[in-house]
Amino acid sequence: MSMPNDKDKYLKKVIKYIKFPFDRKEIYEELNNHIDDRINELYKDGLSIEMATNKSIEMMGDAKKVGLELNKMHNPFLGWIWKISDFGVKFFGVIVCLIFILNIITSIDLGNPIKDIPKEDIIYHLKVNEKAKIDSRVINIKDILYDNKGILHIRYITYNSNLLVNNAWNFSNLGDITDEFGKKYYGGSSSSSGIISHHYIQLDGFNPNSSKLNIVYNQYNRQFEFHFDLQEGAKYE
Amino acid sequence: MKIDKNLIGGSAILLVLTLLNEKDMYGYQIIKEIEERSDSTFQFKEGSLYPVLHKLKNNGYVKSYTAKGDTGKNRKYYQITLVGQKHLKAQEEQWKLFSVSVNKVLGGSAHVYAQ
Repeated sequence: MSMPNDKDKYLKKVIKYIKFPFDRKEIYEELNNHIDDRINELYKDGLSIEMATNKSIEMMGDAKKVGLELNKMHNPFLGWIWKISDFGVKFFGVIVCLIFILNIITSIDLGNPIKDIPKEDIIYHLKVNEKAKIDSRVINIKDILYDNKGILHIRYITYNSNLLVNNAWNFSNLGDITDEFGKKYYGGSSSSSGIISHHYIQLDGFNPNSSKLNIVYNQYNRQFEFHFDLQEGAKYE
Repeated sequence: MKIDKNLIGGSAILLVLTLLNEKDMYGYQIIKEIEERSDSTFQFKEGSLYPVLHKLKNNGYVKSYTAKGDTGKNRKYYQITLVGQKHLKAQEEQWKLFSVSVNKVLGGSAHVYAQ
């Protein structure tokens, strides 16, 4: 007496021999379809469902033999390597996407602290767009602003001109910042790094009479220089 | 005369690849084709087809995909690859050489029917 659960019993016995668990379901389904097709055909030929099922299972051959042969083709070692590397690739892809999105968000979100300075506090604001390049990294000075508290604000961005090269230059330090009297200024800086890194420096106690700003970078055998005329806002606007 | 054997070994690979070279098929279809073309000469256990198919897939001779067959049921179809076609060609050559040689031994050179 053969019933549909005999088929299930047979299939379960086959997949019992498959050591790599992730392939079991697919094998079960493939063989199940095959047996169903055979049952259908034998049934059409006039056999009862029971007899057709019985015959179909018998035609498949010994469950242990089939299972052992199939197991040889489903090497658990290779299967696991494949599974892990497949997961690794997907995981890596998601992480890369997340980093990329975060980069964009922080690039936008950090915004422009210069804009937060009230208009009435501004003594002068130079909108400059001066660029220098170290290796493939571009340093682009955007704003120089002097306020009535004696603070000189410098905003600049840095980015890679070649997207494929991720170079380690950060440039949260612009080098020596001096005025025409040779006074060196040190200030607090903040940066956000991303595809485009945003940088912001505040120099306290900047001499209100200074009319020149010199930025000279000379580190690791790499140089750039910027020279700005201050208090001549019109020149850059 | 019926030859009872498991569908394992070189001739199985040749048979399966030859059929898949004509069109994509699922397991049961392959069995039916072999049955019909050989007038049921090969009475092998049907389950033994699947280790062969999965081996061919491991070797890169075939690939598989799931699609709804004519009955509307999801089937795992097998499709021969370029590597598989090359392998088939080599296997055919080997088979011809083999059958010619066997015939030479059995019937003497007079009965050779090479193509």
